[in-house]
Amino acid sequence: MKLLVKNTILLLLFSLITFIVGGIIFYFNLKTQIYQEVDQSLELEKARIIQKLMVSDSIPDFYTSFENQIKVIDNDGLVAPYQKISDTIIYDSIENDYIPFRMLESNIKLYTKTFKIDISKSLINKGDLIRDILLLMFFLFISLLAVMMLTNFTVSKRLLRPFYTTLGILKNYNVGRTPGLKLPKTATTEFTLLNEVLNIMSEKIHSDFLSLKEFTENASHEMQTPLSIIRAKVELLIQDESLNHEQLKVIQSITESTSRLSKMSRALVLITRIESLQFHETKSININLLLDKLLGNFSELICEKGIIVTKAYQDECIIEMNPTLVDILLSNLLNNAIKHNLQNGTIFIKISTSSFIISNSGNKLTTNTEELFQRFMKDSSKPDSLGLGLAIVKKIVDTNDLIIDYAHHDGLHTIEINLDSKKLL
Amino acid sequence: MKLLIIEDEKVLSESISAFFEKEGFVCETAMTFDAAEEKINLYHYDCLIVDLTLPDGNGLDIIKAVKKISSQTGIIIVSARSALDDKIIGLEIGADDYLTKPFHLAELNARVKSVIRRKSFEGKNEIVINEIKILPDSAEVFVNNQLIVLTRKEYELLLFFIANKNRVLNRESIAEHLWGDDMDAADSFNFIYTHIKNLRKKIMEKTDTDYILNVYGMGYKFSTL
Repeated sequence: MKLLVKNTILLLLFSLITFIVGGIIFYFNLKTQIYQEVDQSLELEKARIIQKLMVSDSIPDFYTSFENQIKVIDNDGLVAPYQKISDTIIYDSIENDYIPFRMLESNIKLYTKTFKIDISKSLINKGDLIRDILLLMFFLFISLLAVMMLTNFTVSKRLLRPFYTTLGILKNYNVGRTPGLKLPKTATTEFTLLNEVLNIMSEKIHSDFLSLKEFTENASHEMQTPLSIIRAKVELLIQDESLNHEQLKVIQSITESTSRLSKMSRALVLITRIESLQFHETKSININLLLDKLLGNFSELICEKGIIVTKAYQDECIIEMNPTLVDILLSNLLNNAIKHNLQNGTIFIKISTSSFIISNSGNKLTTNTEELFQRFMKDSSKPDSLGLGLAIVKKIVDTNDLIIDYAHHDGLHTIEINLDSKKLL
Repeated sequence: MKLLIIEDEKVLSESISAFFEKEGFVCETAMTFDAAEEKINLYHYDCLIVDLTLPDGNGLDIIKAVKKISSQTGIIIVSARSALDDKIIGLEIGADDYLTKPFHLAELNARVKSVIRRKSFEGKNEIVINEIKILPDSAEVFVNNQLIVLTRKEYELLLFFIANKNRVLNRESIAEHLWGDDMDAADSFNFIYTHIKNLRKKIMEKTDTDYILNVYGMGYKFSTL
């Protein structure tokens, strides 16, 4: 959920709660105030009536209306004095409805006489008042909320602009391609601070990355000469005809390990060179033709394993990329499809304009699918393999804005390379 | 045949030199750019083996210098850098071949011989080993003057064997010669076995001599003795 939406929803939620709680409190408060007022006026009315009763012998006429009813009865000192104020409803024949009233009932003793004084005051106007006030408040709240949300939306959008700029730069950042993020200063202190921290961090990452890359490259390079010496010495040594079988076995295992080491260092050099984008010249390459050519190169291996290759070329797939890299990419994928295939297995190749799929039969992976493209990740059943083939593939894919997907279904390992990564994003 | 080995790593330089001396070459070595420059100005060599990274200069400059003095000299670049650019530039300025370290001496040997052959016979060359005659230009092989038909891999294998005759070749070097780095060792050994079996059969159909010997646990040897 977007921060802005989240922010607005929270604002709305809290305003609503505040309004409801505030509204209830306000309502009751208002009601109490009105009741107090009415009660006070009832008391006042009662005091006025008593005053009048005190000066006249008989019960005088009091002005009454439906809204304001006064009943004074002489009840011959039968009841003890008391006073009660309560809510009641009285039927109004004109309105044909029950109307709320506040009613004061009391018995008073005046000299020797006792009177029952009942005063009722209609609350209908007060209720209307409360309703009007609440309605007004509600509209006020709605308009306030609308204004608040609108400002919040526009202002936040404005305020967050530097943040989105930073986010955009971060999203497209590729360690190793550019030195540091070089984020700009903004008018907001917090964002400027964030950008500064990110700048420092990315520069550090970049320099670490460079030194690591340099180390790998140098180490791999420097390894080549000693390896050449070992190979040369071994080759001179095996010409000696006096060597016995045991010695030859030892020499053979030295030869094998040297080969392994040399292949490994070459592969590592290749990875670092792909990382440092040394393959930058691009050409239009026809994947269909290249795959056919490579299948020809691998035909010996394919025949040896009795693999059946099925091709489904739906369309021509043309890619604008470095020829060496495409060659390495496809060779590695095909090599894998053959190497990890079963005896008499199958390879299926499907090509469309924007993607190509290479799938092969094979045993289930012993490694994790997520770790498949990591360096030195290899199937435990293939101790000879270097575990660098797919790491190279991943490097090529990553540096050329392609998308690679791996899936395993019904004993088929499928690798799909998608060309339209930019469109998909 | 005179060979100049321009390589700053002493031990490697000595090994290469020892190897080629056994092959009947006269070998000289230069460890620095200056020494190499001096030698190419004073003497004529049939082939140069040049390491590109020298302590006091770039091997590419030596190649340019040699090309000015004698265009007949074969040049093979040997480099730890497998950068494609180096290879392209090297071949553009007149090197005949390019080998990345670590290489097999047998491979270097085959390349040197091929370069010298191309340079010295100007196309009209043939390789004769006892009753075997190879015409590299048409890729034809005759045994006792009878043509034998070889597949491309068998032909490459035979040439590699003949360049390294009477030497034990380990399977790794044969595999790398035929398939490069791409193939896994375990896979390629089976193929080597198949190709050698076929090659031997085809040669033996025309002659009684078995040239290809199996060296226990190690590889093969093309013996002409």
